[in-house]
Amino acid sequence: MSLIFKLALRNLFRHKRRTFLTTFAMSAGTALLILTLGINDGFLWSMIIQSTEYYHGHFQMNSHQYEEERDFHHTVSSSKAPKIPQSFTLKDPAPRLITTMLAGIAQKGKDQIEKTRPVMLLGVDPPKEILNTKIHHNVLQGEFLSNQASNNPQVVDGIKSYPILLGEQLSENLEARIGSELIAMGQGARGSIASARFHVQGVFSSSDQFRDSQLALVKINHLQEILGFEGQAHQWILSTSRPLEVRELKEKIQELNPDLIVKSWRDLLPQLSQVLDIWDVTQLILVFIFYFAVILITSNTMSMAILERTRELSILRAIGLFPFQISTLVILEGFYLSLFSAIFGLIFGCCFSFLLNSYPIDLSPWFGAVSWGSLTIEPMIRAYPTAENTILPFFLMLLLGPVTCVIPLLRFFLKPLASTLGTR
Amino acid sequence: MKLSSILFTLLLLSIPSLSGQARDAQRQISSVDLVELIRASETQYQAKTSKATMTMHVVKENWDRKLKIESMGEGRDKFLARIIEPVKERGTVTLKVGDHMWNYLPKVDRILKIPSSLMGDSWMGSHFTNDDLVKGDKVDQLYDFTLIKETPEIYQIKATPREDSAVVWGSLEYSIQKSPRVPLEVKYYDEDQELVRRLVFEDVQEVSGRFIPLKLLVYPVDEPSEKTEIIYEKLEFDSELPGKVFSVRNLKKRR
Repeated sequence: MSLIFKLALRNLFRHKRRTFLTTFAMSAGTALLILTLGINDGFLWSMIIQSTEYYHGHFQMNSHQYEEERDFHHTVSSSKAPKIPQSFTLKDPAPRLITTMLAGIAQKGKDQIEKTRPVMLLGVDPPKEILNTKIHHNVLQGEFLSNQASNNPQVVDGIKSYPILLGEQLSENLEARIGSELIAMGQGARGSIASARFHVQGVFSSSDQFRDSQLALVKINHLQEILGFEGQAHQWILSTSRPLEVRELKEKIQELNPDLIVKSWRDLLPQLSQVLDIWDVTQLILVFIFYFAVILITSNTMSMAILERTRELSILRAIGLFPFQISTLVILEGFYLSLFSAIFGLIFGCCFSFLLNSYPIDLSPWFGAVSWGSLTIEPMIRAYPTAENTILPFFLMLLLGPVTCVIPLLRFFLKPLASTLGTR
Repeated sequence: MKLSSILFTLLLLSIPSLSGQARDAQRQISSVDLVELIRASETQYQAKTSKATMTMHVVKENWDRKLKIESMGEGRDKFLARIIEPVKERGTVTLKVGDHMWNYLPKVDRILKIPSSLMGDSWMGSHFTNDDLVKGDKVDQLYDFTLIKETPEIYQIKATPREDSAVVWGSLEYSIQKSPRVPLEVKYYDEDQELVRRLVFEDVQEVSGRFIPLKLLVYPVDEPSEKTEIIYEKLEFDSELPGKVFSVRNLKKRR
């Protein structure tokens, strides 16, 4: 039997150029498939990350009343975190307090603020927020909020001034700069009038231009103090390292917290959820198209290889080799070819994918980020290699060589030995 | 053609124009009356100058609060309201001059202009909107009026916005008592002509020779358990006001 293995290997090297060209074509097919799946997933992941991890998180938990009425008096305790199932994929939840206030930038030496806009103030717990979202990665100017002493309220002329971060577009609209004084007024707890002075500590982007034209971040304890909602929050957010598995996790979290309404990013961003479902089907079609092309190349090569060696195989058959021994020899040749192609394809595919992951192609000089509904598409071509997208093409390629030998072999064995012996 | 036929034809042709003129004349008379009625109703708390102290009780589903407010007005265009109680909000001022509105916030010692986009928002957490303050007394200039019902006791008048008017309501319906001539109720309808809220006037009393309702109640239709009640405790007309009281710059000085 070991002789057949050796013979199969030797046969491949009898036609070095043909073997090289076939291996090259099959390796290139595998590598390109790994890379294409990586780029596709990179595009999809970029969309999921941009749309969820820079603001929404993967889960949001609100009280039933807040969810139904959006009345900001329906709060939950910000010190009592929701129960979370034991899972290494889940992080510690982060509380948020939300309100809308009228705000404007105070010019130096002027008490009157003429240019005002409605601003959505989001109170966050900085260390917990950092665990669950990546909004701190998108600080364009200044610093993100923290629990350090430098982030405590400053007292200017006997009036407290709280640190605040403004969305990029909001900062432009208000003509704010780092250190600018921002004045806000709105409704506080139980109908009271809430007003506060802030100093702009930074400018951020949450990957959604429309949201960034309204959103401002403050520390939750500061906003609680301003509104009179001490120890209260409107919602908890939670993130997972496996955002594609939120359906199962959502049910578990909901079971543990019946007094809250749990929503996953699939509920919050239904468009993105639909895109994801369509994407899975698109991936399958893409794999099929690629493999169809590689199957054509490989089948053609294997057919030609068997056809060219019809006389040789017929002699082997004539001198007493059983059909299964001849079949094993040819299938082994196909397998070796597949194995080499799969290994080379895997190496090159992974190298290209990791290269494009580390050094994405930046298209921003030509195109800006596209925000559509609540989805944001970055002008960046980045590969996101996953085990699934790497292993699948590898094993499919391993199968391809042996499988493509089957039909030419059947055709060979169906012909009478006498007729195949005369073939040159 | 006989002379009588010609005259008859001319008579027939003149009927539409005659009836049109008559309708215009009637409308003019009615509109003057109706406009005067509405103007009198909307400006009943105004004079050359006015000064008042009132309490505002806001009842919402989840909370209720009382505010004591001191207000001053000059004609139709200038109005100032300053919170006296609760102490926490004392000194908060709303100033209206023409179509513009500002708030002075003593806690941060700054004056904030209310943008036109927020005119539909609640004023001081009540069921009144900023727009009620700015445009409430200009109904006679922004709406057309139709008398929809008249009884020996009341007029019922419908106000529909003029084509070029930028207003928040789809229509208004006034019930005005004939004697003494005071408003009883105003109904506010949205663009789909759905009733949104009711403003009810009560406790009519004579103040400086005028009959004035000293209690106003606003009932939002979609929240039956909620209301805003304003009770005038003190009301003076044509009294002397401090100088430049309606100036934005002076808001801070008069804390």
